[in-house]
Amino acid sequence: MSQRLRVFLVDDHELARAGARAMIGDEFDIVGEADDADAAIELIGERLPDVVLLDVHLPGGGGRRVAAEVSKVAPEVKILALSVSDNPADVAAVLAAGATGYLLKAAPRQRLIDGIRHTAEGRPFFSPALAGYILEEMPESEGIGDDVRSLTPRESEVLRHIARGYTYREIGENLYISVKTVEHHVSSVLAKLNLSNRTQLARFAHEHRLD
Amino acid sequence: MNRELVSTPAHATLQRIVVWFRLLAYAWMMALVSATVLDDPGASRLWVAAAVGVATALTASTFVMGHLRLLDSWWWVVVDGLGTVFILISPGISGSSDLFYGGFGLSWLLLVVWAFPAVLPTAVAIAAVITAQLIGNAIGVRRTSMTNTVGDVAVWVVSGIVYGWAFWAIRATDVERRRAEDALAQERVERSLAEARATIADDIHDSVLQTLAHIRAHSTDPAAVGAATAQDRELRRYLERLSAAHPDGFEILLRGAAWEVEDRHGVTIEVVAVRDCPGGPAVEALVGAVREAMTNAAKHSGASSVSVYSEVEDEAIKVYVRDTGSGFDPEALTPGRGMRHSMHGRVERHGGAVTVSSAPGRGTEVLLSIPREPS
Repeated sequence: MSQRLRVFLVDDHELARAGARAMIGDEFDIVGEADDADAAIELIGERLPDVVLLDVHLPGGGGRRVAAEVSKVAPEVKILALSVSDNPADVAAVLAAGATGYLLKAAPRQRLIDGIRHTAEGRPFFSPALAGYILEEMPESEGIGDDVRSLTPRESEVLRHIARGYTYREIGENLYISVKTVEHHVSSVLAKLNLSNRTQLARFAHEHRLD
Repeated sequence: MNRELVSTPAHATLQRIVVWFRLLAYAWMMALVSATVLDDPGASRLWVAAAVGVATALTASTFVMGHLRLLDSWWWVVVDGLGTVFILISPGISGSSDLFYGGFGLSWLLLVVWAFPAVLPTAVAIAAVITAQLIGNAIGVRRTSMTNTVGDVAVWVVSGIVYGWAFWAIRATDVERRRAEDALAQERVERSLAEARATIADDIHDSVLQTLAHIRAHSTDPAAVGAATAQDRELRRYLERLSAAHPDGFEILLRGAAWEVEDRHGVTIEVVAVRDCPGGPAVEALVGAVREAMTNAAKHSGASSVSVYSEVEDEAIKVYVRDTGSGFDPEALTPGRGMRHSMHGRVERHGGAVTVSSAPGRGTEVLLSIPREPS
C-alpha cells in the first residue's frame, strides 16, 4: 500500500478508542475521533477520512444516524460498523443506513486491519460470528420458507467458510471461484439480511396492527 | 361454576348493576303498593305490610351484603330467594286483585345469574319464580286466563335467559380481554428481561471487558495479565450462560473447552456456533475430541489463533477446528497413537468421523462430526 489509509474513530467509550488506536495506529493514520453522533457527523464532513470505524450504539441518535448523514454529505467516505451486538436488526439497520461492513468488537487485530482495507475499497466485510448468526437465522435453499430470506446453497457455503475463519481469497481457492464472486455472494447475503429485516418488520407491524 | 368467571373485575362491576336493579325493583314495588292498595278494598293490609317489610329488609340487606362482599354467597342467595318467593306469592294471600311484584322476582333472577353464572342455577331460579307466580295466581282472586299464565311464564323464562346470557357475554369478553392483557404483559416482561440481559452484556463488553483487554495487551506485569485473563474468562462464561439456549448443552461445553485450551496454551480461539442442542454422552465425547483438536492446533501449528465453527444439523453435529499455522503433509504422517486412540476413538465410538485436511504452509483443518442422539 503506497499511501496509508486515513481512519476516523467514533465510539462513546474513550477506552475503546484508545484500544483501537493502539491496535491499528501503526497501520493507519488516525485522523480524528468523536464520542457522539453530532460531533462525528461534523468532523467526518470536515476531514473526509477513507474509513470510519463506527460504534453502533452511540448517544445522540446512534451509529445509524451517523452512517445515514455521512453517506449523504460525503458518500466517498466508507463506513465499517463496529459493535458488541450481533443482533441482525442492528446489523441490518446500520448497513441500510450506508455502512459497508460490520465487525464485532471482539475481532482480533489482523481482522480489524483486513476489514478496514476491504472497506476502504468498498468491499463488504463482516465477522465470522455474524456469518454464524445469519446461518442460524436464515433458512437455506430457495423455495423453503420466505423466498426473500433464504440463502442459496452457494451463499451458505461461502458464509460457512467465513465462519470457519477463511479469508475471501482462501474461500475463492477452496470453491474454485474468484474473490470477486465471493464478494458478490457476501453482498447478496447482506442485501438479503436487509430485506429479511424489512419483511420481518412489516410482518410484525401487520400482526400487531401497527399499520 | 366457573371460578374464572367470578374472579374477574367484571364481577365487581356487575354487582353494582345487581344492587341498583334491586333498589329499582323495590321503588317500583312501593309505587305499586301506594297506588293500588289505597283503592283495592279486597287486599289484606296486614299481608301487604308483611310483603313490604320483607322487601325493605331484603333491599337494605342487599346493600349491606354487597358492602361485605357476601352478596354472592350461596346462603344469602337462598335467603333472598325465599323472601322473593314470599313476596311473589303475597298478592295471592292478601286477596289483592291487581298487585304484581314482578320487578322483585326479576332482581332476584339477576342476583342468581350474577352469583352463579351457570345453566343449572339459572334454571332452578327461573323454576322457583314461575312456581311462586303460579301459586300466587292459583290462590289469589286475580282473574287470570290461560294466556295470562303463559305470558307470565314466558316473561320469567325469557328474562332469566336474557340476563344470564348478557352477564355471561360481558364476563367472557372481560376474561378474553384479561387473557390478552396478561399475555401482552408476560411478553413485555420477557422482552424487557431479554433487553436487560442484552444491556448488561453490552455494558460489560463495553466497559469491563475492554478494560481487561487493555490490561492484557499493555501491562508488563505478568500477575496483572494473569488476573485480567482469569477475570475475562469468568465474565465471558457468565455472559454465555446468560444467553445460552441450553444452559448445560453443546455450545456451553464447546466454549468452556475452548476457554480451557486458550488459558493453557495462550492462543486465541474464536468460536462460532450455529444452533445449540442439549448435552449427552455423545456430545461430551465430541467436545472431548474437539478439545484435543484445539490443543493440537495450539501446541503444534505455531498459529496465534484458532477458529472453531460448529453447526448443529438435524441429523448430525459438525465441528471444524482450523488454524492458519505451519500445517503438515497428511500423506507423510502416520497418525500418532494418541491421535488415533483418543480423538478418533472418542468420536468413532459414537458413530462419528474425523477428517484432517492440511498441507505444509497452508494450516490445518479438522472436521469432527457425530450423529445426533435421538432425543
